[in-house]
Amino acid sequence: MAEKRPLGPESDGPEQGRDAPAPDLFRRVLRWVDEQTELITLTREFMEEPLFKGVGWPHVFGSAALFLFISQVCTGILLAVYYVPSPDGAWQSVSYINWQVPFGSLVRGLHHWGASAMLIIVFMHMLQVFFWGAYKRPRQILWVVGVFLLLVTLGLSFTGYLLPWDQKAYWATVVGTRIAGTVPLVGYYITTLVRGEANIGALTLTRFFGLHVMIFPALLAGLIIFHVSQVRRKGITAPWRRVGDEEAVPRTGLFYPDQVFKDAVVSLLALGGLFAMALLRPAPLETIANPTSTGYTPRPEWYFLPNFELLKHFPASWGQWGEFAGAIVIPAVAVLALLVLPYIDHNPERVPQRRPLVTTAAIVSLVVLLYLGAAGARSGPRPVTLSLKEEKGEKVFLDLRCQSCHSINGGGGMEGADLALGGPRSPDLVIEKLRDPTYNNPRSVMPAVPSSVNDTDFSNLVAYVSVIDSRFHMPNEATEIAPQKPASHYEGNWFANHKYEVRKDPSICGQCHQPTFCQSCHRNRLPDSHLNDWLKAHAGASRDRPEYCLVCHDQSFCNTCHGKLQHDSTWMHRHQQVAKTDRKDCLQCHQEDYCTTCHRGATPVTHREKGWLHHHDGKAADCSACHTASFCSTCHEGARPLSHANRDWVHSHQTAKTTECAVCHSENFCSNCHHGAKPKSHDATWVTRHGGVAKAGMQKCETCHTSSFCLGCHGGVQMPHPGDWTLSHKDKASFAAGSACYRCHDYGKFCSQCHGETPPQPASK
Amino acid sequence: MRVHSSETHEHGEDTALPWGEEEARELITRRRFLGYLSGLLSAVIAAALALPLVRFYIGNAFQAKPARWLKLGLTREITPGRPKLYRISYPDQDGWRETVTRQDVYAVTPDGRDYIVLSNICTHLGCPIHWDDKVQQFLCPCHGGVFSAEGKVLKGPPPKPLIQMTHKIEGGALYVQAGGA
Repeated sequence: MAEKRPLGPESDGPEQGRDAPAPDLFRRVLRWVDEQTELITLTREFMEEPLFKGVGWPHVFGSAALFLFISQVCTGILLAVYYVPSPDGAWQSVSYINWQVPFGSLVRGLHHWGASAMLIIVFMHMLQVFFWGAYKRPRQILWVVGVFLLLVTLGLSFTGYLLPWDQKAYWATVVGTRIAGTVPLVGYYITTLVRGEANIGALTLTRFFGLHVMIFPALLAGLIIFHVSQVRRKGITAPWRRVGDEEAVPRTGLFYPDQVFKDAVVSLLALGGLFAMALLRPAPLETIANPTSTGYTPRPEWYFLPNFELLKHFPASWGQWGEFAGAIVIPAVAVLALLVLPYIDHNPERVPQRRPLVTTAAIVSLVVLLYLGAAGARSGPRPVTLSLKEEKGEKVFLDLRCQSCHSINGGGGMEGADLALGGPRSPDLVIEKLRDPTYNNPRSVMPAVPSSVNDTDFSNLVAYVSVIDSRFHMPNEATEIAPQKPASHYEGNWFANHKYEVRKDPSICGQCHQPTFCQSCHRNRLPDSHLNDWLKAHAGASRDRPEYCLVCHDQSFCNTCHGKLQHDSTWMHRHQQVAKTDRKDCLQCHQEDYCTTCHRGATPVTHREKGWLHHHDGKAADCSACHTASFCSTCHEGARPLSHANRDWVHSHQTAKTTECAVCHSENFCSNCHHGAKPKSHDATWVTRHGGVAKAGMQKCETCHTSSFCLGCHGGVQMPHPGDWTLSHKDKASFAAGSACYRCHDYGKFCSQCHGETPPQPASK
Repeated sequence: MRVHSSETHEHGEDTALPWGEEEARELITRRRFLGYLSGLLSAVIAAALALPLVRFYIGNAFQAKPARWLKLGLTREITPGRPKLYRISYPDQDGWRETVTRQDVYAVTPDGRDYIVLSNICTHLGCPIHWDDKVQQFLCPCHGGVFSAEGKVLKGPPPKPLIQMTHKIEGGALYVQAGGA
């Protein structure tokens, strides 16, 4: 404590001034100040306390505790310069302190570790006072005030714990305040009073803030002033002397500088320790408190561990009474015992061996406390030990920023699944999911593991993700990466609403993100604007606000269509070539069968030539201009069978077994040519008309029929009738009733056209 | 936190038990040394604690915010001699809060070649000025300040012409630099 005192001026006080030969201006000013305020004289009187012989290093803890209190006050006041006690701002402002304010992490670390250090030092101070028997007459009230100082320090720790409003703070406070609820009958009222409302919320935070920065520090300061002034009045106990024997001990030391020097050394060591802790293990800040998260496992801070462990040793059948006994009654009894200790311990001895009862009781209590603390520390979820491979996988997990969307028992993004749930997993499923996130959910926005991750890293990642289960927590490094995001990205609805923010001013996103960033999620999901008739509208939209397009696409994206693919006035002439060389580009917009919307009827000139269907195989080289390779298989599915290679196949195929045709051809294949059972021309009047067609040329008939086909009907009569038939028909045809002539010709009518009323009787053969 | 002078110890000696002269002199030297050392240690502790705390308190008070270029519009939309009003807005960091700052600026071109961008804040007491098409002047509603289309003071109390903001023209579009304060 002494290091805060103005030591120097005391030597220039009025009493000393009389020896000074020529007091300079500085000394005269100091003397005037002292005359007015007596501050220097009082300080000097305070510092010049004579000390009993034997007071020394064991007595430094009180001063060290005071130094830590001053350090906590300094860092606390400055943290309050930035801190906002509201659920909307608490976490954000602490995050700002941590990451944005110069030395913010250090100052927070000093305050965070200072709280723990203060409890340790206060406890050490109590142990020292106890074992030195310093609580005995006439210093009982010092001990009692000391116990209250310990309680207020614990209160400061408990109320300060909630202020960062992160997951750990929130859930520890939920559990801590619930303990008050175990008090029979009035438990609910106590809990509600502590919380300020039924649940932990804004009112709890402001209440705890008020307690932490106003009420408890003021209380502590008042108690400290009383405590220290009493120490000064009653003196530091002479070591190991019986009560009443102290005056026989010579006072060989002076508080200043003998004890002050030791105090300063210990304070410096304490500060060095705090700096080391603050720099090597910065005060943690988990993700913002989320009252709805179900996966978070709250753990008490180390100084509540003995109590935490104690609760487990009560039989479950005691129910709430067990908790009441463990959490309230036993600690209350312990505190009460400490308070009354100096008044019930009348043994005048100070040497521990000569007061075996209290010493034994203290040592047993200490051992129990340490045992419970150690058991509490061990009893949490089984500690996770990662293999080397899994450790490397954890690093890949962080490198890929998986925690942006996934949490592990909290502490990560809320978009993806909490990996602590449902683990451990089959590595095969993990591999499948990481390679293709859409394999079990087509609308998944999870990006696949990029190809830049090599096989070793990938298998490490798989090993790590596979073993994650409910015991795991988000790696500490994760939070160090995450808070570099702007505050807006931490709003609960950011994920759902970011599309609106992008629309307001996409260039803002572009300040941090590459245009391709969107694609890391949106590869499987187009923006809503792109869903309906976008192709028609996009030209206008892109002309109006090109920066909107640039959010996701880079400048060259337009050229994938609008380079050579631009559908301008020359397109109709060019499209055949483009379709041939860059068909995949056409398919970005058009369906595979889009060409047939035009090309179904509009066949090229060549295709209209006679017999195209039969001769098209010779010109196959040109087909690829319009047709894909698969087009042939519309008819030529598979290789042609040998039977079809026969030149006469077209003529002879009618005799083939239809079951064999069905092996390759569908039922309606025949109608490609036959349009039903027969060619269309072969309708009801065909029999009377076919002669004329046949006379004009037999080529068409010969597509299907052989020349002998006609004889099937026309018997021995040559068909069509040769040129000299008029003269020769009487010799070559039979005109008997039922002869072939009458299939086409009406005997009476037809013959009488030339032969008059009585045609000649057919010659008998 | 100053190092004490030796008189303290002499005084301390006066009140202490009477030792032998030799012993007392030795004690004085030892105590003086301890006193100096205590002062030094206290100074080290105070400095180690104070320096980061002072820097922490200063915080980001003097840190310039990053400037950003904002697109106003196409230069061809601006009629020569007739200031065109643009409202710019950009995200701003207000401590740990993210806010949106809005500001009105006038883009002016006398000839369609050179452009200036004027802040709409009157240089007198900070009222927002506006362009009056009828009188072809910028008018301040508060104390009657009048500026020309180029921002020069024509009448009234304003001590300086309107602030010209940094701008650039890229691809036929006019950009203004904002937020760099």
